[in-house]
Amino acid sequence: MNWFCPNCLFEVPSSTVKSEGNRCTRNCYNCPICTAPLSVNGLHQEPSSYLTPKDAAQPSGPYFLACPYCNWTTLDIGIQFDKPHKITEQLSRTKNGGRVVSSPRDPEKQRMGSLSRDTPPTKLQEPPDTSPQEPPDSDELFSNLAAFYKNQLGEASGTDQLGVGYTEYGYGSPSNLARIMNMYGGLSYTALKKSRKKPAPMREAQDTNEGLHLVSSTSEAATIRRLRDQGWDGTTNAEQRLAIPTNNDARFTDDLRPVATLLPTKRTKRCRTCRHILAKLESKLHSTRYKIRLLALNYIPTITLRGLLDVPSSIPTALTLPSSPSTTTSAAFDYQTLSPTTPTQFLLTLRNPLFDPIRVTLATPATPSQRPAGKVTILCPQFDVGANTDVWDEALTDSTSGKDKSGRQGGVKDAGSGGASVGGEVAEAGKVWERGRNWTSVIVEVVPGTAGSRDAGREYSFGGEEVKPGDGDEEGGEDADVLEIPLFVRVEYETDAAAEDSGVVAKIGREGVEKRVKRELAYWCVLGVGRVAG
Amino acid sequence: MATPDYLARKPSASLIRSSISYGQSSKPAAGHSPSPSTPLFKRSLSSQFGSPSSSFRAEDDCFIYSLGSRFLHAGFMSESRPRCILAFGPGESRRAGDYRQWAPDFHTIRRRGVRGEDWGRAHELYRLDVRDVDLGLMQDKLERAIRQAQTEYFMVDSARPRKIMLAVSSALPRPLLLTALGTLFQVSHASSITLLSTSICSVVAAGLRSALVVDIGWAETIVTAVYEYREVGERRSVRAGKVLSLEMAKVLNDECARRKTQNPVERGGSSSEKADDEVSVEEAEGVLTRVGWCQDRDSARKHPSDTSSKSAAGANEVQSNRPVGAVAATEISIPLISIPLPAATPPITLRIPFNRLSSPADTALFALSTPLHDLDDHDLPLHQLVYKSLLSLPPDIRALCMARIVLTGGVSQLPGLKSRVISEVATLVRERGWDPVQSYGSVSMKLPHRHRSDHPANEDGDEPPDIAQSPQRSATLDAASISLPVPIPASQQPQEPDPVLAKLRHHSHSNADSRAPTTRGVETLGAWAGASLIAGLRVKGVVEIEKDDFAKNGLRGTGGVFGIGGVGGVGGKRGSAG
Repeated sequence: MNWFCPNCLFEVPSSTVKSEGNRCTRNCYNCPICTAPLSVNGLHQEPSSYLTPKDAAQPSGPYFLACPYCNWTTLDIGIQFDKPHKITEQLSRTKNGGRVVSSPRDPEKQRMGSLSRDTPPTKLQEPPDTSPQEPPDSDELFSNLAAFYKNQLGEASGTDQLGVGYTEYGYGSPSNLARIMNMYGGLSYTALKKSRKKPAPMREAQDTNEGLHLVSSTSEAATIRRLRDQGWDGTTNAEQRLAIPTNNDARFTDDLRPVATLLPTKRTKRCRTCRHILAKLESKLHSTRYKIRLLALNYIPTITLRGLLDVPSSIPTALTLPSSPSTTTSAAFDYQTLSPTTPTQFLLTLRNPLFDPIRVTLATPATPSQRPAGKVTILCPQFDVGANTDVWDEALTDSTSGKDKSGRQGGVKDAGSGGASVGGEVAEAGKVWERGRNWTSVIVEVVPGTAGSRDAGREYSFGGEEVKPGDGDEEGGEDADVLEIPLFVRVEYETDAAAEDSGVVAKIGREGVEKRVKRELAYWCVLGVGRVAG
Repeated sequence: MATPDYLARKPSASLIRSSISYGQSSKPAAGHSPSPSTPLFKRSLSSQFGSPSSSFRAEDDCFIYSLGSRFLHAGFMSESRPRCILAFGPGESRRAGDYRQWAPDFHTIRRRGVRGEDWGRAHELYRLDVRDVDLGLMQDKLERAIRQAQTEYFMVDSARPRKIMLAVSSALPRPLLLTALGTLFQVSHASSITLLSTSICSVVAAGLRSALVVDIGWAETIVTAVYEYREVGERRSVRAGKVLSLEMAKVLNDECARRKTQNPVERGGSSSEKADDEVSVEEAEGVLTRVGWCQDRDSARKHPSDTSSKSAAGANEVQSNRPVGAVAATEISIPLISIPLPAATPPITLRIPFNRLSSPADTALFALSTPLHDLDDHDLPLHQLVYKSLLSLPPDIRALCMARIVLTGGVSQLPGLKSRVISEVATLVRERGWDPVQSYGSVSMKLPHRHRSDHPANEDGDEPPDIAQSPQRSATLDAASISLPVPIPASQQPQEPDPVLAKLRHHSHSNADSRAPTTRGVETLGAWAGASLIAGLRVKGVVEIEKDDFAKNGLRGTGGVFGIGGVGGVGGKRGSAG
């Protein structure tokens, strides 16, 4: 698996990611303030020389990273670079303010000196001198702590090393050891015994070199003073802090570090239950094509919900293409203000992406659970949708199907007793509204409930979305006035057994003789209707 | 109970208990060990047994998760910081295709909390009252977060099973823990999950063995006494981040209202809008984390910041490097912090006196204005909570914990809070000693002279003591503090110097015990870093849950108690069959 930097398009192999982390280690940095990519600029560069080629600009001279959007530069945090390349390496060596990170060797040596057995910790005069001015950052503390614990554990295991390490060789028993020790003429048995006494408990860290860091009121007071002087603008917000681990405890903008670009990769998606690969991109970096692409969109019917209005012109134009009813009706229908407690009729269209005709069964819950409770009646819950055949088929068979439809609608008109009347057209229960090549429309009648807490009698205890009275703030609110209806869709169809390997579809039965497989698909979905007028 | 006596007794207690077996000895080769051996033999041994284990580093790499009610920290072991910190916000629960957070005016519209709902509910992953927690929702949210951490930040080949260390609060309700474990197993293909307690991780990350961990989180503050890597006591209070941000929201709302009444020209809407236009959770939290602070004890007592915006900055001013003579002018020189509130209608920029921004901490966390008898057990202010938990500890543990107060949790980042808590506790200790009775009422006359107030020698405030204090010096300190009053009962008398003890103390590395128990705070790197340290040292956890075992038995096989064994070899004895 390969990762790449989205900024410099450099491919990073997996091993590098493992060793150097998930960020681009080249020159790719983002602005910690506004997340725009930073560019490397020369400090003494003339403005005109931006246009000249790189070689013409003076090769030496300090460089810095600058944000072209918000004009943040690393000079703000006191960092500049000697070379225009290997920024990461240089950045890791400097702290904010241009101080050089002490190499890990030095504290290590100090630590080894302080931790050697015979020197009591009182001998450490130096560290208390340096620590008050400059509190160690958490990385230093962590490495100190880790070294301290390692040291302690190692020391402790060193004392009972004979007991642990040598047991396999029969040296574990004291008499054997005593014999051998006498042979070598080293320490006496008593001395040996003394060294094998129970190990002392690992002690606690005692100074900064060992990772202990006391709460100091002076540094906190300094922080407060700084806060007071710098005010709101000098502080960082949560997104800036969480952008990169090194900025996690940056309180002030002066503490921010440039954000190295996060490396993404091309990932395959697998089915959650059967681990079948659903989507896989080509591994080449510059190509955006798929190797495998199994989209649910190609297997489940597309459902659209449109308002059915008393626009008579919508009916004739809707006959040709399924997209046309939407263009005609939605212009007049106002989805933003549905009137509550009034039955409104909607046109539910299912389009079949499969090459086989499907039989659809729809259902809605008896008691709506959504907050602006809409009562939903599907006038024709069971119907067929034609196969997704060639577009030309419809054109060729247009005359017959058109007749079929008109006949059907005529029937509806004649029978018009059960449904509500919409501008001359009558929606009747049990009848399909209209039908096309691979789509079918049925009428859904929705009675929107009242939005919000207008009627005080209703209480929805399950954390229901409730808005305050007089809440005109529709867009950003808790979407309490959005009417959504849950819908259960069940699709049955028969297909060839050859297409069996499309792992999306669950199959229930198989009629082995004809090599036709009956498949069934059932799922819940949610349809957004519109906003209920408050 | 005066201090010196348990002080002097302390080292013996810790030495007697020093039965240690290290879970995994790191390296057999220790060059400085005094045991004599042939060098050649040793080298061959170490190469044979010591090194190969370290060469398979990649294989036993281990993920560290630290789960709280608001954030998930995730990263690799033995790294100092988590790779990512993921928040559970309302933005995470949008439907696919809901792109409104990228709309240009997204930040200028105030997202309204649901009215019947608690403050900040949308930002929580769970709450401890599991009666209203939708576990399925929690599972989905957690799963998304873990998946995001793994794909975006860990970037490992997911095929290989790995180990996971999960640091959770030790009193996490069992359904929540079950859900978290199930999700982790399901998403991350982990072979086993080791549970760690956050308080113990914090102690490890502070470099201590015993401490009083004050975890000021979102929903509640948990004070846990840890002794030798074991949790020995716990107290809770609801005075934590949630209450604090609610208080901050009140302050901001007050300021908004005041601003509107001051210049009524800007009052655009009707009066009903006022009730509507309240500060959201995000805004309150933003203000709190950016410019919120906590004044120190003296100035809080002197000028309660609630009452007026004119109070002086107090002791900070003395230390500040302003020109001399500005001290007199402190009343004027309190800067106004301008806080933009773009989501208010109309967008305004509040100008709040800096002192006012410290008042939420005073009211929410320290409850200065409320008398103590009005407070319930579950909403004790922080210093009282710390004091009470110290009081409930046995004296020797108390002495250890008192000098090792570790403040952690998100709210502890509030500037000034740590030193404030510690100085408040120090004052409480100085004033009341370790007497559980607050008021003796009419009996107080008959009581013998209470000598504890006579020698506040050891409790010298929040001033951090000299760390590298030699045993000799502290011994003299003890002696000085002893010789004060005439009628000392026998129990209060100083222990006679024990030559054996002195020798032991001299030899032992842990001269920390010989320190006078001042109230002292210790910084910690946080629970995540502690877990990372523990994992980095290859310490075997006590509660390690195998995947198959979990699938078969759930939590039944593991017991309910977490701890770590190995570091001190002391964990694990509490593992009761739950």
